[in-house]
Amino acid sequence: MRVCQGLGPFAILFLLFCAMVCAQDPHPPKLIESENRRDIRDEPIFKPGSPVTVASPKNIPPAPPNEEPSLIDGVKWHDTESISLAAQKKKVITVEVDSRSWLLVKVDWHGAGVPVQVTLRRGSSVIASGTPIATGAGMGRTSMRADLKPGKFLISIQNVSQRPANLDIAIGSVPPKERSSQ
Amino acid sequence: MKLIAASFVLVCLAAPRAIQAQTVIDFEDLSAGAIVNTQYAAKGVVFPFSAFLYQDPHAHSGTHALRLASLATEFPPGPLVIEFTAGQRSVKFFARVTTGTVPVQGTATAFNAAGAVVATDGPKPVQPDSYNTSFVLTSAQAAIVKVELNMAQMEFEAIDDLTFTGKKGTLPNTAPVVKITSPANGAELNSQNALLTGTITGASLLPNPVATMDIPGPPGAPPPPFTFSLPMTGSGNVHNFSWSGGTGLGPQTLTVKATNIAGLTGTASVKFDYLPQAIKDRFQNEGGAAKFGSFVYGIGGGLGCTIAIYQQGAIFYLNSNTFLALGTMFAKWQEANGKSRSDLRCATSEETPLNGFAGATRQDFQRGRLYSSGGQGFYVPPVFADAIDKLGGEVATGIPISDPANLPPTPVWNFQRFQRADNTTLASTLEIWGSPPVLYVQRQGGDLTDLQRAGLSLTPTTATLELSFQCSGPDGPCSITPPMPTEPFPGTDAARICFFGVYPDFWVREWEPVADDQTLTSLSGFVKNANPSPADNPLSHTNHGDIPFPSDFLVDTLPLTPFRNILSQPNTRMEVEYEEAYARALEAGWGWPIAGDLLFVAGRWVVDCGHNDHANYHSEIHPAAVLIFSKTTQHLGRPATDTILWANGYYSGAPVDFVVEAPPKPSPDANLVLEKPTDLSAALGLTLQLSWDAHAVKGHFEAPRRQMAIDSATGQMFWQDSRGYQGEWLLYWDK
Repeated sequence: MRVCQGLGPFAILFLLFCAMVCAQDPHPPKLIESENRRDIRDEPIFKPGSPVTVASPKNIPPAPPNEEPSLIDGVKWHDTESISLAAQKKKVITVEVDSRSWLLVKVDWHGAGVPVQVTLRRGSSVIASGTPIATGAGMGRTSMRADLKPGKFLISIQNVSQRPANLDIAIGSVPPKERSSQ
Repeated sequence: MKLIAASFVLVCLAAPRAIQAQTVIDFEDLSAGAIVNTQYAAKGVVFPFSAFLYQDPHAHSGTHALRLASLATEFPPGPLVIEFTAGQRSVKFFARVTTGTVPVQGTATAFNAAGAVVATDGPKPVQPDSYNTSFVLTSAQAAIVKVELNMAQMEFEAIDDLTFTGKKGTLPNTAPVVKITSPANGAELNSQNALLTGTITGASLLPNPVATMDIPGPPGAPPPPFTFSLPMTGSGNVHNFSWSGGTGLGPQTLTVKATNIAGLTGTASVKFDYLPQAIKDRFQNEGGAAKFGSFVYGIGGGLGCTIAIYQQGAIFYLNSNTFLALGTMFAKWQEANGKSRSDLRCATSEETPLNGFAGATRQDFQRGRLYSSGGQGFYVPPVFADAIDKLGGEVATGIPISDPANLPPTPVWNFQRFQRADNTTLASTLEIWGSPPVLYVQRQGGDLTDLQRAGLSLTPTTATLELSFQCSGPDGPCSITPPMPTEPFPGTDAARICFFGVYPDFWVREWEPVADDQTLTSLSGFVKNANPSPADNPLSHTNHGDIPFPSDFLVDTLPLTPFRNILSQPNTRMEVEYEEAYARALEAGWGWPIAGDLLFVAGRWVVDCGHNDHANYHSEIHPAAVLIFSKTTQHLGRPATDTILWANGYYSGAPVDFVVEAPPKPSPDANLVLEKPTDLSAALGLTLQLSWDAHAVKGHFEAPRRQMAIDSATGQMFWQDSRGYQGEWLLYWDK
């Protein structure tokens, strides 16, 4: 009704006329449906617990040259690998820093029934533990951050589940003082 | 009137041997439809203001009667006046009323030569369907020279069987002599308001001599002469007339005709010319008859639009300015002139060349615009001209390649196609459609400003951008306002969102949301570049390669004007990102966005806190949850909007509305067609609702809401399964 406010009587008559005469479009739109080129129900990426298996198309454009030495200035990568870890098995990585550093740890796990455990030790002392997050069926990430003094540290990654797990590991350290705004 | 009556008396005195007898006039001797004034003068009676003889089934005798006037007359010009050429002892007639259904009171009044009342009859009811009412007037001195029949309300009264007893006067045997003293013959008037004066010499003149002005009109449809009565003053045999009023345009002939009671007429004519001085000056200054040919006719005048039309051109005069139309413009103006939907009236500008369109010109008129291109003229209605002007001019919309079409009572009220400047094979469409009427402006690449800001050119594959505006009627006006520009938000706000830190500072994540992590934000823009990322952070990505850990696919996007507020200052481009590995099914089936595509995206709106190049934090959509990219392609031999739709594992289920716009409509009766995959094979874990717009399809994605998992260390949003949409839509027009 608010639409009619401010309209002259001729405009209102016009609208009434249209309501009677013009309401039906003599040129209705048409919908044509067919089977999809790729049925989404068959795509592994949309299925629970399925990792990425499809390769990139060959004709995808190349990435431009990498103009940045690293996204994190001064980072030192101690371990970046993908491994398979049997049930109940543990992998230990030694990290040695000669100056105060921030430790950055990511372990993505896939296939394990429960989160992979990550702990940081110096000698026999546990300094820090990773924080897990489930991201899907049998999938998740355990992350850890720590402020390290110079020295040697052990990072323990343990598959505590009864099933083997595929792990993507990234462990880096970066001296806070060396970092500067990019 | 008294003058005539006095003349009759003089005639009577001068003719003492006039015969005194009873005369009956039953009006059967004249044909129905006759205008009666002096036909019965020889019998001693005239009708000085004329009356109308007609066939009346209720006639008192025979089949004819005399009515005040034709019913085609707008108002009854009563009273009915009867004058006698000599004094009568008695006058009798029968009367009825002819338009009403109830009796009307009527009164007959008799006058002597001095104008004094000598007898009356009535008031008495005059019937609508019979002549049962008679009026009788008598004068012992035979003094009745005039009788008036007055009705109590406006009526077309009629009389029959007029009977009178008395003498018959002698009729004049020479015609009146008319002399026009102003305007002088051959005069060129300097004002359209002319003074007409002159004299009429002769005895027993009927009142109201008639003036006729012959004004030039358009070939094939000349206007009827302008005829009017002249008021007359004076006494005896010499009378004056004077009239002041508007004339036509160009060379005209004025004729004055006077009639006496014997039906003898005298006439005089003068020729004169009138055009505004500004038109005459322009005519001479532009080359005169050699350029324009001779005058044909004129339109308008006074203080409004005045148009002088010559054989080869027209000169318009409005608001003290003159403008010309020649050649194609003139031909098209003539074609449109007088037509209800395209009468242009006066030019309001000169014909002007159009930048970007070789050889094309345009000219504005009071009621629309004309374009000339390739020797052809095209009319553009005011509402479309207004849209062109307010939405970027001809460079943005194009110039017409047809006249407007309309198909009422279908919803198409106005429809017109235009041709773009950048690419002459590309058309745009303006249409007023539906009820209430809405103006739709369909242009590939819109007004091109967003495309040009992206450094892109208009090509046949550029997608269509549509604007729509409410209209108050099928011919407008419409509330046309260009999209409101928005400005990027301050860079200091972006820094604040990143807590003035740079990841991996412990207090900030690599991506911090502008709203919150779960909110979907939408934008549309043109793709500038799209490619895989060269390097990423392995800590914040799930699928990456070896050092330098490439993972993402980057779609470098120029937001359309209304979406620029999603950018952070001083950035002009928006990165839309997602992990490329998740898109490989999409890429394998349908490809990926490429430069020039029109992109719609809904995703998490973040500030990239991992980079602050030169203290510049930039915003991103990261990750994209719904990605829709369009281009124009050829399908079944016609343009189609080819759209790839991808909703993915980053989609939380919040409602997402999007529009897929069709290419410019090719004809007013074209049907919109959408080809799409079945939802069963394209949609998973979400619903798609479709609705039709006049020139587009509206889509709506929705799904049960789910909380998207976020890595608290980096801000990475994690992909979740069991939800998505992938497929290709083709939207086109079929006739």
